[in-house]
Amino acid sequence: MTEPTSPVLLHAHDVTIGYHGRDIVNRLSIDIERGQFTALLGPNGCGKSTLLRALAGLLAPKSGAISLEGQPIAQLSRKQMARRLSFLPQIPRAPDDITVRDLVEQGRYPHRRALAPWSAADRAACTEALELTHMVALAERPLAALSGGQRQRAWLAMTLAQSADILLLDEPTTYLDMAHQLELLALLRRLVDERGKTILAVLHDINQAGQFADKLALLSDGEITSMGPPADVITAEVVRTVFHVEGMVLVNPMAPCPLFLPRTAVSSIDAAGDDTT
Amino acid sequence: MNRGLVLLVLLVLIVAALSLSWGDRGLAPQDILAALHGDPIAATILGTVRAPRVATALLVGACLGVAGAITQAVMRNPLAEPGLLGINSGASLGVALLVIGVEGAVGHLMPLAGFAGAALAATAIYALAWRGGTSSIRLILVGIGIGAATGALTSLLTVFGDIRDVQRAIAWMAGSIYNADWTKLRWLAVWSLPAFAITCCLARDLDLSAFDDDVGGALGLPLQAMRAVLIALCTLLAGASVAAAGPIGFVGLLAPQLVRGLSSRHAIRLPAAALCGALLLAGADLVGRLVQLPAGLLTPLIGVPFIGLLLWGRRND
Repeated sequence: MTEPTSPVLLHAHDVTIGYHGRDIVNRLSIDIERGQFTALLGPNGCGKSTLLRALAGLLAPKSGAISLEGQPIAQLSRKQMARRLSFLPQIPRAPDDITVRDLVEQGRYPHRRALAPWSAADRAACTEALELTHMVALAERPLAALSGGQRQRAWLAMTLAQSADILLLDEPTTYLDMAHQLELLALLRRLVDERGKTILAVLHDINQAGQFADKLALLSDGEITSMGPPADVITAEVVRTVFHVEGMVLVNPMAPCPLFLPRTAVSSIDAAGDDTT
Repeated sequence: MNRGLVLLVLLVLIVAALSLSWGDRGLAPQDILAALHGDPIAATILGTVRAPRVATALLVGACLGVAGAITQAVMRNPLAEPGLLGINSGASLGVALLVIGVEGAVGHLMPLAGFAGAALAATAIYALAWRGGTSSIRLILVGIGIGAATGALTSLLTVFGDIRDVQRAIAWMAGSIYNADWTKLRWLAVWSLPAFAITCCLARDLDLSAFDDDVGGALGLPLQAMRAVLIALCTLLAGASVAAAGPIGFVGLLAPQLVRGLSSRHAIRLPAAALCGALLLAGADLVGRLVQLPAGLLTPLIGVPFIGLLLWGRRND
């Protein structure tokens, strides 16, 4: 078996991204490694979604470069990109009356040639996506009639039907209750371990991220302030500077990665003047 | 094959047969067969009056149905219709300018003026909605604005124009197909059939256009290019129909709306909307002949109760 030339699959170099004259992300660089589950965390409004949209090729950076396996993504057509990388927005919107199956089948769009019939590969990918997300029984239901958690799983199934190697997911656990959150994260973990997928997901719970992800990337004010294995990133100091939350780091009796126990939120002004503690 | 489509085909055939035989001189099925075998009287009635009229009604209705389906997907709004792209108001302004503003007999140029007005209005809306790309909501808002502006200009022309010219322009604006002939029909077919074929090839892209920009883009849809192509196709279809029959309201709104339930796929929805549009307009024309009114005035009469029904059906949403 030939080793891939570089472990870096998706690479952003010195990118500045913004809308309407305002820069959201400033000269940021990040490497997403092949076959890893990277969790992107940061306070509200720090630019996580903006970064994800740029990495997905939906928003052109004002400066800097983003490349997929060494090839600048600006040179790839939308369909070429979509065959290799899938992106699930935070609040995706579909026509009201669509069924789960019809939604999932949209995931095959980048693989289909004009007028080509529905192929065995298309069918297999959709069936597998429905099975992985436990949506088979709900496949014929209209999306609008589902609960928030079921809807989230339907969208994830669509993303999986796309059969791309890279998944960029913007807060995939947001609408889910605790059990469904854990189930979804376990599914993401399995996709990485068993299918060799590469995942970059925006998550909010640092402990969940630590438990399931290979790497954490913390984003604050449009810059990556800390990135690495959970054990290196989850420290009281880092969490205080990035999230403005005071707390303790404990040894997790159930998992190798440490556990952050929040105590209180500190206002950003206090945090800035409180660096010496 | 989809059962709904089969039903629609049957209904269209029934209405077409009724329209061919119904009129001042009734034609029984055997007369229609006789015409096909060369009976001169039946052949004249069928060949020069009824057949082109029925065919025009069917084709104009189909164009409007498909144009409506495109608009509803691109605008992501089930209540959108080709009129939002300025088709009807632009065409009316074009015809009013021609009839009221130009001296002499210009009646034969009315379809051309209508088409030009429609195309110009749609282009203006697309251009004005452009801000490094277009968005569905901006198209809708600019469309409403341009519609109001062209409507006002048309009213202004009718206030100052010669009363006979104004009357002709307003009669055209009512929308009708009673002076259909084979030449007009041929032009309509030349414009609309290729556009219809291309639209059907883009059924999957239409499916995805109805999603939000990020979902479509992430799945590989070339958003802006596709939206421009779809709006151009919609303009061709609706513009050709307005050139042939004048502005006919409600068919573009109702036909796609009525067949939404058949499938969320445009591979089904487009032919269904075409059939349903054909059915609505041929039906309206048939009823119009009974009560001596142009089809364009009857479609709202059929349309409004339908809208009421739709709202009633969704009252608990």
